[in-house]
Amino acid sequence: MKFCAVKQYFDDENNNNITSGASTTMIPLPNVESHPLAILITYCKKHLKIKANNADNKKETEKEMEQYEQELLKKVMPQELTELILAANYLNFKEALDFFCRAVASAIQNKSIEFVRKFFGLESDFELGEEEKLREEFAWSFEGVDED
Amino acid sequence: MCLCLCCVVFIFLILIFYMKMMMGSSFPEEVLEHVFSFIERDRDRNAISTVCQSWYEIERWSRRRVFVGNCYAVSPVILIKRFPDVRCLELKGKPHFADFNLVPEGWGAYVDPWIEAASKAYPGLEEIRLKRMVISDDTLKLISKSFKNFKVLVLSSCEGFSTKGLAAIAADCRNLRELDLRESEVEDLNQSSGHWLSRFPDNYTSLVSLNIACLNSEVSFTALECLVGRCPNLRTLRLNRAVPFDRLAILLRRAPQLVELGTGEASDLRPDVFSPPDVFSNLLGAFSGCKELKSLSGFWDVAPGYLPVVYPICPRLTSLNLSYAATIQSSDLIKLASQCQNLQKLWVLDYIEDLGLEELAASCKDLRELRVFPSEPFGAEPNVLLTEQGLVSVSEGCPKLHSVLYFCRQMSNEALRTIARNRPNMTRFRLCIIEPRTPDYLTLEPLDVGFGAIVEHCKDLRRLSLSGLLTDRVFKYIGTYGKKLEMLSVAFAGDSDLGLHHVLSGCENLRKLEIRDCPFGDKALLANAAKLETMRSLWMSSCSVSFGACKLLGQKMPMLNVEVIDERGPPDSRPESCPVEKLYIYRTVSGPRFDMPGFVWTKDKDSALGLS
Repeated sequence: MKFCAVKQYFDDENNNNITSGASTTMIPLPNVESHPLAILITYCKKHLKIKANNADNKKETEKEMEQYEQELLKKVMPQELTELILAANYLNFKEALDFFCRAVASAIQNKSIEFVRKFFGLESDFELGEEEKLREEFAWSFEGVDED
Repeated sequence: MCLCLCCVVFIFLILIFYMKMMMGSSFPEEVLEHVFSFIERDRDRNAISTVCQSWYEIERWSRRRVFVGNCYAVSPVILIKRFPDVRCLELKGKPHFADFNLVPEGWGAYVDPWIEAASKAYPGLEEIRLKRMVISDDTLKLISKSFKNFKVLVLSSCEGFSTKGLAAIAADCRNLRELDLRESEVEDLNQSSGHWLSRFPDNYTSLVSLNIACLNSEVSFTALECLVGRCPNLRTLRLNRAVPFDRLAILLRRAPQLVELGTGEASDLRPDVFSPPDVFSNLLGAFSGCKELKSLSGFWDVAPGYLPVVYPICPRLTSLNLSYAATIQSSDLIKLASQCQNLQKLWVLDYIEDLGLEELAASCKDLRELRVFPSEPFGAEPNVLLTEQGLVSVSEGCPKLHSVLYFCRQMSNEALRTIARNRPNMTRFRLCIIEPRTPDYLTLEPLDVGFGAIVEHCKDLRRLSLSGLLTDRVFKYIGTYGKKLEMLSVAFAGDSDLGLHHVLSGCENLRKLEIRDCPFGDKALLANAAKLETMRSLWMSSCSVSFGACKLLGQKMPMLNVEVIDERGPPDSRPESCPVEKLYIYRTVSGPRFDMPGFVWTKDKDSALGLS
């Protein structure tokens, strides 16, 4: 079960009822919007399918999964990534969380601070001049590695 | 499996009834940390740390890798205060011109205070990388005792320590993976307690990389053989001159998984003189068994007759360093290089000559980096047939070539223009025409236009070293076109302050500027004082900057340390208009340093001594 949050629910249910015959269960997911959840479900199904198809070949699984992930990224809007991360986190879906975190990290690399703020819907809450000081002082004293 | 799919379908059905929008506006902290864990580049980490206050906090607690380009730009206290949990620390000390003996002994760059502080603040420290710093045996001992999970020690061009310090590292760093002493100066203290290599415990097996090529001292072959034999993950082994070439076979058979190898010395191997015939076949067999070997170096005094032992691995080689192979001449070099079709990096002596470089251009289409060093730099006359033509050939034939260091005795503007047009992807271009102020040998004009072509066409050029006869004009080109230039080295060039002004005012991304023997004085420096705060450092030696200007600069710019390095005695014992010997200016947030020797003066030294 990939959606660990949901799995927990089932485990709890099993402890309380005899559910072997049950075919539907109401699972409240108040913290997940429908759209990201749909994408996550598709991701999960694909992951399980690829895993099943390449039962013995781990490398093949990884390769196919990577290909699918690249395709998926092309269809997902950058701003949707933040929703997907929150959803994956809430559902405790580790593989998807890793993937989307990596995708977001990639999206904000080499970008300006303003871009990053916009991406996450954040605003600066530094004191006047504090941000400037940080940028000037600390930005360069712990600068990037020489490429030489 | 079927159950999982069913559950997924159930959720989907339920969702139709439970579509609630609840998008938290803030990320949970652990999720942000997870995103940050994929952001490694310091530039990006610095950016995300200034997004907002909470991000600043999360970022600083999760930064594990810190690079300090100038150890005097910041202090251990500031480092520890900002980043409480660092695992990998990299520090650089002396300026680059220290490599040419321009920085007097005792100038500074002591790492001891940093390690002292780290030993208390970072018990989880795993990696220390130092370049051009002074480290003592006591500090090496402190490292071995303080960091239980210590894995990587790289000492590049460092000094101040001996084999005693190395013995401490060997004995107590149980998790050591990498010990790399590249180009460091190590004192050999003949220990009665045994060779330092034998201090690695018998049950120590985690070595991945060992580089002792710079050691002048004897090495216990038995200890080395045992060590190599019991470390199955050993990937890099760079031996020193004390390891005989013929015994290399023994080591290679113990570690056929090696990826990088530096051979030892072979002066006693003369195939033409008596030598057991199976030495050659033994070596050949051993090399053939190394299926992963990609990088080769060393070759001190190897007789050319032995070169064929490496032929089996040549096609796999991506990196070859023959800059110490003084016994291998042109035809053998050509034979060797032409077999390395996958070569990406070649460091070689000028014995390769123009002909060899032409062959290289034809055979090694994947070449990315080329360094050609002078075999006889102090000779008055050329001893080899290496000219600008060799470099032109390589620039034509190797489409991926982007990093060049080339020593030669003649150059022309035409050749430079050709190189520039051939290789607009050049990122590092260091040309060293051996005799200062050598003009274009064809036209006898300065080489301004040639270097101008380089900066104009190579739009991604980050590092440039100039040489030859150059006027202020070349600096105008550099200031106009060198927009991505980060490091510039200048010697015996220019006519006036205008040259320096062009560079300081035009090169937006300049971080390091090092100048020697140029007629640059006070005007350009003072006019561009603000620029200096955007750069890591400026070095000027044997120029025309007066002591008065240095004082003024120091007073005007509190964020800069203006160091006057003068071995003639205190600068105020001479008139203020007198030019200083050497000047090193760098920005800093940690204020003046207090470990300066007598021949270094800063404005704060005066006030510390109570002098006006």
